[in-house]
Amino acid sequence: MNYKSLNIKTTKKLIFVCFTMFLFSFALIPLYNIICDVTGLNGNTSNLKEKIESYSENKNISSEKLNIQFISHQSNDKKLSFKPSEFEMSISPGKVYSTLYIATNKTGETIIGQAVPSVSPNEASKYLKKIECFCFEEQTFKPGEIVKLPLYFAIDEKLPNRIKTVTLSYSFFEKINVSKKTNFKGEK
Amino acid sequence: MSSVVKDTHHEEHPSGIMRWITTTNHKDIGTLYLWFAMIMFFIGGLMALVIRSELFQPGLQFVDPQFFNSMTTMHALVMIFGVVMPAFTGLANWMIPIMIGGPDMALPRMNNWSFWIMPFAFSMLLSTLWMDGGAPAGGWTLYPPLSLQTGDAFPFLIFAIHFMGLSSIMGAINIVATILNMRAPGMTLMKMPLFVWTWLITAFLLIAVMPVLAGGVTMLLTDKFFGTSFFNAAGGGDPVMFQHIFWFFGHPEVYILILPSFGVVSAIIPTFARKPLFGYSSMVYATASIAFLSFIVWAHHMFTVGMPLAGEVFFMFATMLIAVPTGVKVFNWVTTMWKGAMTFETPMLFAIGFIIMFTIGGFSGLMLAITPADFQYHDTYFVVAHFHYVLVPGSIFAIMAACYFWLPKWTGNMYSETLGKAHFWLSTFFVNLTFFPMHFVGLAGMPRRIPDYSLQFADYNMIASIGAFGFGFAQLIFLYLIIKTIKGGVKATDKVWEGAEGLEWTLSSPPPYHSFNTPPVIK
Amino acid sequence: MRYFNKFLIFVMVNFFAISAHAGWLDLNMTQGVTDISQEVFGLHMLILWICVVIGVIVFGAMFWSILMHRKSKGVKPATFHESTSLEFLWTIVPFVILIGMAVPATKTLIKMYDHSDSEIHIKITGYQWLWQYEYLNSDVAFYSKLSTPYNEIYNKEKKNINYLQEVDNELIVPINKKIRFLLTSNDVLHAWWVPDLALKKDAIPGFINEMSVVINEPGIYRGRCAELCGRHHGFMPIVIKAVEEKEYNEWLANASDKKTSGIAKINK
Repeated sequence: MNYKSLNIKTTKKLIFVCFTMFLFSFALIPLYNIICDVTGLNGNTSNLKEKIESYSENKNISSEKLNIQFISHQSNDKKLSFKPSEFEMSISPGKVYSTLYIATNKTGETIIGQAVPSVSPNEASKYLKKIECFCFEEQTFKPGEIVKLPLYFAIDEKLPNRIKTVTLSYSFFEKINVSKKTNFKGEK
Repeated sequence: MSSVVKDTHHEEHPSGIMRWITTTNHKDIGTLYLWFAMIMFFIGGLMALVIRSELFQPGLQFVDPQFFNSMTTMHALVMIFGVVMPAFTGLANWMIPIMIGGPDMALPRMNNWSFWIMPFAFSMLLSTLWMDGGAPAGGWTLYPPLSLQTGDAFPFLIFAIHFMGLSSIMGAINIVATILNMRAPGMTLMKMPLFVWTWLITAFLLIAVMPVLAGGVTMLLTDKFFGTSFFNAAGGGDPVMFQHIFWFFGHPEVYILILPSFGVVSAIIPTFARKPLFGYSSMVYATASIAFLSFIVWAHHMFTVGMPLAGEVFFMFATMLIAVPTGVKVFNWVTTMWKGAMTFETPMLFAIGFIIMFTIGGFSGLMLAITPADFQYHDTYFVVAHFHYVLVPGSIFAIMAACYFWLPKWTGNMYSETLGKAHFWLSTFFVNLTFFPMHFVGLAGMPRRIPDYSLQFADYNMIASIGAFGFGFAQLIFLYLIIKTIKGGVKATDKVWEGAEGLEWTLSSPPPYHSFNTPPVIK
Repeated sequence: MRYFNKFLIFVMVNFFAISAHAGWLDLNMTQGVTDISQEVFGLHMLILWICVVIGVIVFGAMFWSILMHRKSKGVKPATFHESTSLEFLWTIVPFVILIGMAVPATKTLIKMYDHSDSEIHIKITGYQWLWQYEYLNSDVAFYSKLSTPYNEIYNKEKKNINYLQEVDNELIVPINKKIRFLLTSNDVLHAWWVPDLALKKDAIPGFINEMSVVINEPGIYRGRCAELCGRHHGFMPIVIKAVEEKEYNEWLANASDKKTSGIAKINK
């Protein structure tokens, strides 16, 4: 009957839609990241290095002062201390500043990991420009070592006026082997 | 009647168990789906009773908190993927070819496959209960990182979801192909019964979102076993991203669970009001707009994740908009009843119960849409009350209404009206006794998914637990009634109901093995 | 059947009578102790009453029709099945009501998102299954976890009035000062919720969220983790004690001077 070929045609079309949607679910990841980069949706600041020249020659330094706060998080205090050297700074948007985070490895083993930044309020994340940051690369802390981790940054003067306080948080995640992370028993 | 006309070379089907395993007949497969849903309904119900037993009193009495979490997780997965969705697919299989005057489903062999995947998927899911590390306990929403802490059960959970998704997608493709290609001459789209319309839209929703869920859970799988970091902040991912993917599937899923019941109710109300459905075309447009809106409201499940203000406001507005087409539907049903000549047989009672209690669930849904207030409601028992109101006296009542409505047609026998009414009144009483107090404990501050609670929540939890057991036992009447009706009873006429309209009532009761071998004439 | 229905009605009436005994306050959302929580309560009541009114009208029409338009009364069914004006009306009216609802909701939301001029900054970290509080302006930091004894949970002892909503170290904050909370998590998702402050936000590992509050009245406010976080999700309460500013300053000075009453300074 003629509806048989019609059915096959419809089925093919629908399967195509299915596949497209399956791929779409994966495409959502880069899409989300792009949207987040543009809008600062999730407070995940870009890990890209900004050109220092664009800020050192900046003449548009705003007279408005704002507070920037530094906080940190790491999962195990007994193994590693990781904290900012100062909690708060009063800064002018458009100017480059620097601060330090200090990490102390309290164990007898080498700790490897990376600090992941997050900014609150989320909208501020796209105005926070990091010129030099330890979060760009993996960090290795030797046993007992105390490491000073520098951060050079500027806040874009285009930051909306109503934002008076910006908080920058670093969560330090230790690098763990995948095989070590989970086996099929679900043990860590 | 066409029952006499037999297509002999097609009719020789094996008997016994092989008949059911190899069947490609839409009615057989519909029956299989419905029985599968029935079995799962009792399994999921038992899980609910474990939850309610533990919550009967404050303190830990019966189960370990981890097992309690497994119960809430599995109860949800079983009830959503194992009961409501297969039951509606079963109804679709049984009724759609008949309603549009076709001989069978468009793709009979795929139909067989799409059913027989389900028992395997659910054996896999339920087998996790006996696994090392316990069954999945991270909630049916599978939010990472918690869901990644699942033990041995994890890959089984993911593949079970893949298989359920595959089954639903195959079922949906089949339904779309059937509706688009198998209609009798003269059965234009705008002449189709609303049940067919709502299922057409539901099937499109399924095809659009089940692959997204499949993609999301695949990413969970690779995150856990292959070292990717889609949702792992340490590797540059974002756990909230999973919630976006999940609810992009999840919110249309909510409408997948409810739209076919709109179709059922739109068939039942006019029959027993003896009056044509009010606003047929606006019903169709309302269904389509609900389906469209369902794609742009997902983040209202995530108001507390810390979205920017603009996002919160957008999703609040979009969510509130859904109330408009949903309201249109309710108003249409009430107006259909207005100035009718109503009788109140069991299907009608369930349909009226549906309208009232679904609307109550809709109201609490509207309240949940108000973002500032949602900060207080979110993840509390208020939400539990809300979605149980739309799913139990909503979807489940509609499925029961459909079963009572078409049971005489399916079996050829009338069911016992006394038992049916007893089932309705007991179910209605106990469902409210279970879920209404949940609004109060939620507002008073009880979070969901907790095995133990502070003393101020004790009274209402006790009432809810009593209601849950009552509701559970009332369902045994339903099971008994169905078996009794299949075995025999007063013979049903072809038309069954005085006010019945539609092609299914022109066939014999029970209908012939192949519905319409010669297309019916559509007026 | 008729007797059965009467019985059901009897039971339902009694049920609601019992509910009334429990008092309206137990049934409803808390008004809370901040300006915003009062506004949230107002929004909640407004939308509730709108729903009640719509419900009375719709269900009223429906029950009227169920009572009057039944076949047993010998009525002849009407045949109308559409009315453009009616359908237009009941699309537009809900729309207008919704707009009316959305405007005040958005206003409150904007206030909730204003964290400017905060004087005290507290970082909250969710752990499986306890909370950590860090007063960022000073170096006071401590963990706060459930203090209900196991014997009470396992029904071996009588449960005290604050069963499952008591902690070893309360979060102490001053009243009438804007407090900004920065929220993150160590492991899985948690959500920090205190109903009286109308504050609820998810704690997400690797990300920070913020919220702020001005508490108007001194008192002890209790909350819970609201996002499923594993086995002891139901056992990580929040207790926050709001005190006069003077008392707060004294407490803070003591807490950063010496290790008092179980407060472990994890910063040093």
